[in-house]
Amino acid sequence: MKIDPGLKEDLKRYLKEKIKKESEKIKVVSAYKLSDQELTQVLKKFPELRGKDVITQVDSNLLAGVIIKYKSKVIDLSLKGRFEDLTSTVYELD
Amino acid sequence: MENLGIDSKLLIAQLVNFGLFFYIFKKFVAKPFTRYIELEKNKEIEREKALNAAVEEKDKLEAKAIKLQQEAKKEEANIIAEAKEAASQIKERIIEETNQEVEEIRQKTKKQLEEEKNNLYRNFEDKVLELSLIVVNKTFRDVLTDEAKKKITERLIKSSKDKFIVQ
Repeated sequence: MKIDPGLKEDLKRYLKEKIKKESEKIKVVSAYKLSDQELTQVLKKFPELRGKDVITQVDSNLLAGVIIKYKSKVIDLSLKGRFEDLTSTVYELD
Repeated sequence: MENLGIDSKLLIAQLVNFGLFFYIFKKFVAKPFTRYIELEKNKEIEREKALNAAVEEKDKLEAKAIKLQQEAKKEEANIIAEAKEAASQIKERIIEETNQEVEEIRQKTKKQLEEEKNNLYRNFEDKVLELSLIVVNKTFRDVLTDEAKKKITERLIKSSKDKFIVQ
């Protein structure tokens, strides 16, 4: 079945835009469900992320704190992350 | 003389007979016989000389044989002594080399044991660390209240110095 090239191009453009939009979204993973106020405080800390869409997720394994993911960068502000840093430091001390 | 019963004519005849006999004996028997005796005597002397020479030669040869035997014994003793010395040296060298090898093996084993011990200690420490982390995680999960979580979250966010680079 031959697809209309114009339709193909439109589809491609649409998918690219969708992927771009998805990657422009901020993902906030927290140990418990954050309230709007808390979320605002989190985003206030990173003014460069203003105006972006936010997706929240809960992961009790974090114990406390949050992990913020934007595009390829991840900022780990969780308690679990701190423990892992401590473990790495102790390993390095040996 | 006739009174004594000795006949002079007979006596003279006997004497002449004896004279003749003596003359003939001396000329035809005694000389060759004496010559023969002389020859035999000389032969005997020659034989005696030859025998003495042979005995002398035999003595010389015996003495030489004894000398050679003694030299051979001396040589044998020397060779045995040298062989013993060589064997002893070889034995010492082998013992020394073996001792060296044993020492090397001992050192190598000691080093290996030391390394293994260190590895074990390291593994043990790693396991202890891992276990501690698990225990701490579990404890925090069980002990942290929502309020505590909020406070910790707030604290962690406030203390963060990270930034996002937005293009």
